[in-house]
Amino acid sequence: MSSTVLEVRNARKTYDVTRSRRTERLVAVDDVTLRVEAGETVALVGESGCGKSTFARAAAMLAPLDEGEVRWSGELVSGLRRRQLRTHRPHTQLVFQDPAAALSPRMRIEEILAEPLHIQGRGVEGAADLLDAVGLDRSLGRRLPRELSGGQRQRVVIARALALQPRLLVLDEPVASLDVSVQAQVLNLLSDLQAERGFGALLIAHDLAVVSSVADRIGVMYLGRIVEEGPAEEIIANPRHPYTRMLVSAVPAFSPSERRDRVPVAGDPVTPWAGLPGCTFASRCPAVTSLCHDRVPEPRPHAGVRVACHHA
Amino acid sequence: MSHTLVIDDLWIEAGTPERPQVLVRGASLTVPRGGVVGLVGESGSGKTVTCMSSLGLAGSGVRITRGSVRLLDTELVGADAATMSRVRGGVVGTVFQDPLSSLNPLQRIGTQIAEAIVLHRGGRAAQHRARVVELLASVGVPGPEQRMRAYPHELSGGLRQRVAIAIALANEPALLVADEPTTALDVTVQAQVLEVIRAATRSQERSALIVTHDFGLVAEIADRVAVMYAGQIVEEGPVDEIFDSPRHPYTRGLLASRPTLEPGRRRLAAMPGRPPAPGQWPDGCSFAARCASATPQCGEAPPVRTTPNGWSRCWLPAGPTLEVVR
Repeated sequence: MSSTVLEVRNARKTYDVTRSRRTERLVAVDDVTLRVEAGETVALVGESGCGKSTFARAAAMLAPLDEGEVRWSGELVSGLRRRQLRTHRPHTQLVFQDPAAALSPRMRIEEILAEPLHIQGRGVEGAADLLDAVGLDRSLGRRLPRELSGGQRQRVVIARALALQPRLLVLDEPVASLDVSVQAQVLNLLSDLQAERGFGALLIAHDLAVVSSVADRIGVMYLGRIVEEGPAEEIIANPRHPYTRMLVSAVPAFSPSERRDRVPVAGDPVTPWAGLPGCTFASRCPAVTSLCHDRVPEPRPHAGVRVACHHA
Repeated sequence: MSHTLVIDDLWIEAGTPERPQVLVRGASLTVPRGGVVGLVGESGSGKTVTCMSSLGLAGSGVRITRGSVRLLDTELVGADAATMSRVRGGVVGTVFQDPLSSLNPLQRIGTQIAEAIVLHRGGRAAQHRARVVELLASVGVPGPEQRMRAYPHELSGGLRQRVAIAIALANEPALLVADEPTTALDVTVQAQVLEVIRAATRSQERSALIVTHDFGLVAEIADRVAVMYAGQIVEEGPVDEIFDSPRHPYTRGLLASRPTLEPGRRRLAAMPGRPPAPGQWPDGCSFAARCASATPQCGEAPPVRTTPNGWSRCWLPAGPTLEVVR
C-alpha cells in the first residue's frame, strides 16, 4: 500500500524581470505535475535555470505558485494562509545545498536540533537521539556549526529535518557542496534513513550519476517543463527525450576505457521568456523539425514513462 | 625523455613564520612533453596551492619553503617578477574555475584576448585582430567576429570559459594549467568545454596539468594521474593503471565511492571519516585513520614504492592489488 505524500498539479510560476526598462515575464515552472509516494525518492534533474529549485520551493510552500495545486498527504495546502499552513508544516522538511548557510552560526548543535521540537510544542528530549540517527557523536551537540566539517554540518541539517518525523523531505542539491568521499556517505545515510522511517523524498540535483544511485523515479526538467519522467531505471537505460539523451551522454566516462564519442552537445539553454512558441528544447535539439517550432509537445506515455517530445 | 614541467620535493606553508601551517609536504610531479597530467584531490588536499604556488600565483602569506619547479629550462622557485610575468601567459596558459572572476567585466572580450597577445608579442591590439578571431573560432565560439565585441556579462558561462581558454592559448603556451576548468559549468556545457580542452592538448607540442576533484574529468582527458591527500601526493601513474589497479587505499576508496550512472538504487562504497585538515596531519600515514588495511606500521611515515610506471606512498606490500569494490 502506498500513500501519496506530495502531489503537485499543473504548477506554473513566473517572474517579472526588467530588461532595458521593459518588463518581461520569465516562466520558471510551466505546467509541472509530479507525485511523490511515501518511501520513494523522486529526483528532478536539470541544468541551472531549468526551474528545479523553484519547483522545490513551491512544493515546500516556500513560494506561492501562480497556478496549480500542491497537496501534502492528500490535503490541499496551496492557497492556505500562513497560520493554517503552520499546522501542516511539520510534515514537510527541507535540506539545502549549503549546510553552513542553513545553520545559525550562534546556536549550538543541540539547540539547533531542539528548535523545531520547541516551535511545535513537543518535548525536546529526543534531540540527542537525532545525532545517533545521522551517525554523529553525541558530544558534537555542544559544538557550534563552524566547529564541524561540511559533511557533519549536512548531517546536522538532515537530523533537524527529521526532528518532526516528516512524511516528505525536499532535498535541494544536498551533496553538491560536499567532497567526493563524503558525498557517498551522505547519500547512503539518506537511503538508510528513508528505509527506516519511510518518508518520501523530492531530490533536486544536477548530477545524473548521483541521482541514479538513490532515485526510484526521475523527472528531467528543461526550461520550466518536465520533458521526461518515469522509473529511474528506464530513464537511465533508455532515455527517450533528446535532452535526456544529451544529459546521459554528458556524464563523464567512469574510466579511461569508456572514453567515447558523445551525442553532440550543442548550444546553451535559452531564457524561457513567456510566449515562446513550440518546444523549449528546439533550439538545441539534433532531431528538430518544423513541428517543434510551432507546437508545444504534450507529455505522452511510452512504456511507463511520460515523454514530452513530438518525435519520441 | 623531455619534460615540460618538473616539480621536485615542493614544500609549501602559510601562516606566520613563528606559527607556520604546512600545506604541501614534498610534492613531486612531472608533466612530460605533450602529456596531460591530472592532479586529483579533495578540498584541502593541497592540489590547488601546489599548482598556484608553482606559478607564483598563491595568495600572500603562502610561501614555498623548499623544492624546485622547473618549467622547460627555467627555475620558477625564487624567480624574479619579470621572469614570472614572461612565463605566465607566455609559456604557461592558465584557466580557472570561475571565468566570471578571471575576465574583466568592463572590457570587450576581443580586447582582453588581444591584450594577452600584446603583452607577450608586442604591437597594438588592432594588429592582432585576425589572431583573436582565429582563437575564438578554435575554442568553438560561434560568430567570433561579432562575439569579440561582447562583454563577459553578455555571454553564457560556457562561452565565458571558452574565452578564458582562448586567452590561455593566445601565445601558444607549452603548458596549459587548468584548475577545475569545468566544475562551475552545467553538465552539458561541461562536456562541450571538455572537448575544447581536449582539442587544445592534442598537439604533441603542448602539455597540460589539470587540477580537479573529479575523476570523471581525469578519465576523459589525462594520460597520467597524481592523487593528492593531506598535502602529499600519495600515488602517481598512467591513467589506465590508476583506474584499473589503484595501489593506494585512498585512490581505491575515492574511485569506488563515485556514483556510477547505472540503473537501480544501490549503496555506494563510501569511505569512512573525512580528510584531515592542514595542521591535523598525523606523523605516519595520513590516511591510516580511514584505511581498512591499516596496520601498526602505518603509524610511521610510509615508504614510496615504485611500480614499473609509477609509484605509491604506502606500507602495503606491492604485488597484486586488491579488487576495486564498486
